[in-house]
Amino acid sequence: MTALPDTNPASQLSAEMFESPTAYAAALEAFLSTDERATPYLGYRPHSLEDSAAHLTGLQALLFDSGWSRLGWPESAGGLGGDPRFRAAMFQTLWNLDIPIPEPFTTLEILVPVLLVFAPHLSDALLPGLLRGDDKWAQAFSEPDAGSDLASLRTKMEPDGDGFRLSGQKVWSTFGHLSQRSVLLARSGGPGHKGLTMVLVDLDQPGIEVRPIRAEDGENHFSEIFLDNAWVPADRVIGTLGQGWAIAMYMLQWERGAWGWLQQGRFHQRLQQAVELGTPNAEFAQQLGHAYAMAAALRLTTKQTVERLAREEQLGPEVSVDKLLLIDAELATWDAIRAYLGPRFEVDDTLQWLRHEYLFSRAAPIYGGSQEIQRTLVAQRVLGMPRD
Amino acid sequence: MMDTDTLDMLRTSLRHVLTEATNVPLADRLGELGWDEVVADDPVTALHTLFTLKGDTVSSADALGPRLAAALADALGDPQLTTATVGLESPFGPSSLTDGSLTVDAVVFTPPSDNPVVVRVDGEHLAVVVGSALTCTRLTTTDGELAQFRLTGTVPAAQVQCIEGATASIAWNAMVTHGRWLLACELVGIAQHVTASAAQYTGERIQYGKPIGTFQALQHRIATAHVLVVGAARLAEHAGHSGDEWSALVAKAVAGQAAETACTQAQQCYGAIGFTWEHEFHHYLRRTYVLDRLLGDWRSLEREIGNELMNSRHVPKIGML
Ligand SMILES: Cc1cc2nc3c(=O)[nH]c(=O)nc-3n(C[C@H](O)[C@H](O)[C@H](O)COP(=O)(O)OP(=O)(O)OC[C@H]3O[C@@H](n4cnc5c(N)ncnc54)[C@H](O)[C@@H]3O)c2cc1C
Repeated sequence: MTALPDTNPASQLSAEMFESPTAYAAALEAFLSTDERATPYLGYRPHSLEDSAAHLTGLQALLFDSGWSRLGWPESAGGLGGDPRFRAAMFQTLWNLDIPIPEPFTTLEILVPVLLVFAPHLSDALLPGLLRGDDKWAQAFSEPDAGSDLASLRTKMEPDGDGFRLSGQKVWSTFGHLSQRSVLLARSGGPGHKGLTMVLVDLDQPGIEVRPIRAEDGENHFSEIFLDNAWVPADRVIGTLGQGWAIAMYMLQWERGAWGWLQQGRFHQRLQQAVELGTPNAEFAQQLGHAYAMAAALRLTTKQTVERLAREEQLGPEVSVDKLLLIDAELATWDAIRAYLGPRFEVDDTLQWLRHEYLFSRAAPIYGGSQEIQRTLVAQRVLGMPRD
Repeated sequence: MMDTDTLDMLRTSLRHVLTEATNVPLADRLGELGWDEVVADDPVTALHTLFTLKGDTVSSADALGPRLAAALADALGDPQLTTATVGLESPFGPSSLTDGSLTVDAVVFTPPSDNPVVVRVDGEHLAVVVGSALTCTRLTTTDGELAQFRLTGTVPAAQVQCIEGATASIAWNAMVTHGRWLLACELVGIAQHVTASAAQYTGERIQYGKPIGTFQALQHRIATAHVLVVGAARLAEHAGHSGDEWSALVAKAVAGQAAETACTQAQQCYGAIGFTWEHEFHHYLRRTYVLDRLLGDWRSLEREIGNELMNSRHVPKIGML
């Protein structure tokens, strides 16, 4: 395949690729493994989260300018049309080539489908910058006193002129300190679910202070966000006042479903790394086999979810099954890798990046609705067990 | 492809066939349904449906034996072997072919009478011998209802047809792959049944003035099982469509584990009643143990997967978008 000019991104993609995610993936793989602009990303091993974020912004721009990352998003929002399977195929291709997925892509997967439905004016205006990596967004839902019990959150949202003022504190916002904006859930009305509203707020303003928090892997993975009369214009409300909870629930089908597919690609890739690095030893056969089997189960389950999303089916509580499988597969995969690589795993300089990923995997049962919360949802909403 | 209405009708008839009390062999009763045509039309859906329902109903009919023979006959391109009985590996000892004679030790689900029996000898060749030359003894098993027989005997080599080399291995592997897929479907059927029944029971049984299903400890047990069951179901479906050896291996590994997990978690939800013959649960538990052992239990299969990954240094992906 010849590299086509950046100025006409659509021409990178032939009509055939629009027909089939498989054809698209094959062409993308050919592009990334031959175009020298992609070389710096193949097998890239970051030194720190900030380095990685800066470096991979270049990859985001490359993928956008040459058209690849625009397939799978609607044209109105700067995309080239096509359904979410193309995004899923892009993630798989990046993992196949051992290219780390830029964190903003995962945020996009969760936030943008919501904007497309509930705030198309925002997605149309802002998606291109977000997709290209010029603009970075975070998600600010959790608060110090509102974790699993998210609906108890207290950040206040009060009308002021042609907009709103926000005051309160958010925490655990992934990549918050590297983001210019954040989707945020605030209390605009009374207590409970009905008093919540979702907004898109600019983080680079005087009323906001963002402080990174170092995570288990030693990286500044997330941030706390202090809001003191921060400003948000009325047209940055996502959906309507009081619709925040319903939108957050809508978001979960992407957070729990599409996310799982992205992660299975990682697990297969990292298992591949482990079998290349390790020395065959029957002692670890079952543990590795189990990890692989769980990753395969996750792959097929989330493949079906991605296909359902592509058909624009509305997913229900069953997406919690995807999240629970993800947790099982993630823990099994990393435990097997760590066991198989043996004592050097803890001390080998060249494995620093793998150790970081291992440590980060410990968060799987916590974020995005903990394992306990998901199990309760599956029992009650999927299996019909009684609620107290 | 079968449409939804046809599939629903098929399910209803199959459920009836699998649960009716009769001594007529399953194959004959399926024959009345026009089963051969259904299978010829859409083998994957037909067989997936039959074996999943067989698990769901814990039917003891021998559906597997004829399928193993069909798969082997098909792979060998020898239609006569369709009526054969495939002798699976015996836990008591190997079958072997030495200078003058064939020694058989194998397990089957239906006595072969005078049909040909195919066994694998010395871990590579296949030997075909007439069933009447062997001794057939019914085994007492953990299950009790799903019949298993041990075939033993020593037969002069002159009465044995030997299939050697790659042809033999390829055919045997095809048979194993087919069998693992079907067993995965059956184990998934068991696991789905057990999970759903236990979930329902916890809504009916009252303790401390409320349904025991309101207790999070029980909710989480059943949810844990359900997650594995969903994964196993997707793998079993995929193994059917792809028909490849690796998918069937992984599908059976996860299905065996899912069924065992479902039984363990369900058993606890039932309390004492689930521990009795007053309740249906014990059938599912016993059946799981027996089926899991056939063509490789889930732990050995996981080891097989792991060894393959380590030795080939390659991690394949199952299922493309
Ligand atoms: C790596 C990472 C990234 C994150 N990124 C973001 C982000 O970008 N934006 C954002 O808004 N948030 C983010 N979070 C926050 C995450 O959503 C919360 O951590 C999660 O919702 C759990 O809340 P908590 O940490 O306060 O734990 P708690 O709610 O305090 O829970 C502590 C323990 O109690 C259990 N528990 C709580 N309630 C129940 C119950 N009803 N039944 C049974 N057990 C219960 C939990 O399962 C858990 O084991 C992130 C978290 C992590 C770890």
